[in-house]
Amino acid sequence: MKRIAVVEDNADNRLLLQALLGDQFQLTEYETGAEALAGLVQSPPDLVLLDISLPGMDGNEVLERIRADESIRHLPVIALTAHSMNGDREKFLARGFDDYVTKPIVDEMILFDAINSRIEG
Amino acid sequence: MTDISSPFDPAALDRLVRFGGEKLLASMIDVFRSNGRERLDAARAALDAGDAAAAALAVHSLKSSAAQLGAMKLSGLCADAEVAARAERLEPLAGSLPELVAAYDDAVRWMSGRVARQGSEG
Repeated sequence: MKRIAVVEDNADNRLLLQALLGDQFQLTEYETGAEALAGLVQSPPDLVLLDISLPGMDGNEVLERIRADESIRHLPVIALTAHSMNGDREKFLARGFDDYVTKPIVDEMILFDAINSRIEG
Repeated sequence: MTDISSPFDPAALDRLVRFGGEKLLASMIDVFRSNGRERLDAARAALDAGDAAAAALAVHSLKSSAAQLGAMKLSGLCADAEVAARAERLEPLAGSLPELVAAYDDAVRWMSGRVARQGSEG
């Protein structure tokens, strides 16, 4: 079973992702960026779902640190965010995210497609 | 200002049931009850401290949770306050906080009513 790291401080969003993805993937949950970085290095997953508005180190900084670390820079990282304004998608892709999924999650297929297109079967 | 035509979106709750059954919905409402109150307390504390970044984070989190659970008025009020806080303006949040608290309480009542109705029908 492929492994996904979920970096999300909101417990309700973690519950939702567990319900949507828990049957297909092995999820490892992190509530803060610092906790996630330590975990990703120790046990790299196949993909990272990264919330942007995290307390302390935000998702953008977490991504920068992932891309700066030789051992985990290859990981596909999908931004999961409630920042949904015109031009946001391009902004996040330009920063180095592999994809961008907005919250609230209304159509789960958008999330599934973003994940499946970046995880080899 | 965010335009909110209806304070609640029942389809959002139905969607969560589709995603994970009544169990997921009940769990998410439980978390919203406790975390939502914490976010409001955090927003109030950030206002008192004049900390715009902390205020923005608090209302952003509440905005996201509220939208996923169909509390559209609350989510809209949070969105407006977040935009202002990110621009280092705390007056809009200070002005709307009582309305925000009332919208949160209304949302919890609405969600709880939905779960209670489902329980009595099921």
